[in-house]
Amino acid sequence: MPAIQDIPEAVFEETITKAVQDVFSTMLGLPARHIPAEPADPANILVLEQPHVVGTVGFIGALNGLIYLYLDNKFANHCAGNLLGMDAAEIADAGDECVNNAIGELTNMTVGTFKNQLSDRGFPCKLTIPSILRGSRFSIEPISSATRRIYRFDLGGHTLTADLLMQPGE
Amino acid sequence: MRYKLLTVDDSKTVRIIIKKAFKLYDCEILEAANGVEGLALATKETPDIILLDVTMPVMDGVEMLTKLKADPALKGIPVVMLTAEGGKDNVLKIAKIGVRDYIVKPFKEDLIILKVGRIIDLKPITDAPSRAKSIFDPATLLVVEASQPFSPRSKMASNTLRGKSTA
Repeated sequence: MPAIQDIPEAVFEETITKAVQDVFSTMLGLPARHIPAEPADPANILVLEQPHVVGTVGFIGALNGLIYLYLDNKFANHCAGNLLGMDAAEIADAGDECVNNAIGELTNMTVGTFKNQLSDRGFPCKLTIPSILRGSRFSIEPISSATRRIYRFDLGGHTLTADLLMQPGE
Repeated sequence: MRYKLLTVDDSKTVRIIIKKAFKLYDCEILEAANGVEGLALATKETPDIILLDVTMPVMDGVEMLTKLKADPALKGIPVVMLTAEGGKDNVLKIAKIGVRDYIVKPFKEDLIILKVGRIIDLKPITDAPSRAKSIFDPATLLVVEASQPFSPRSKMASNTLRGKSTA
């Protein structure tokens, strides 16, 4: 079985980009464009200036990892409404749980698509169940043995950030 | 005849999407959030088709599928997997247990309608009473190739027979 350090960086970028594009285009009709990091951009720092909804799903197997998808509240509500066929007023009435479920499922699909590509490259993994974080003024820090990669995407003027934490598996 | 479709998925979002997809069809949607609930509902209601997720708490889709196939009263119910778990090994393992089709998320609602419509004779609500499928209707085979690099979306062959013998 190949080792994680044998996987070129470009493969991770390509794999997460394809996953985000597939999911958001198929489920929401939203094309996604990867925003390359600026050379001076501190790529491994995430600063949340507004309230966010963060979906996370893990994968376990030949690689162990977590992917966090960060959406600001407005974008999260927009995605939930689009996915469920509900307008803004209905989403507001339905409450946070409805949006959490929708973002959880979008995250599940994105991480699923990501890990399926890795499985087909010789890194079989299984998914964990999704969970959701809400708030602002928080940061998620990896443990020292994990690598971190942050990718940003533009979806029709909204920003989606994918935070990929990984370490070698079994 | 009103068909019964059982959707088994721990994601309430997916269950809502499925309900939304079939709202224009003469089809009753039953919902379960895990394999235990799914088996109980399948036993009680004898649905005409089951859409089944894999990764669920309490009892996952593989275990539920295995139990369905072991029950003489339930093993004939066609099952379509609808799951984020793709990958060659997973698809092969589940296909061996016995499924009619396998849809990897993300999915378009039209695709679900198409795949389910190949198994049960879906009719729009305003249409005339549905008829049972006949041996002369086009059929689709799910062919899973084990010997080559595999991608569920591109390589899962769907061969339509039109009036040809399967022998």
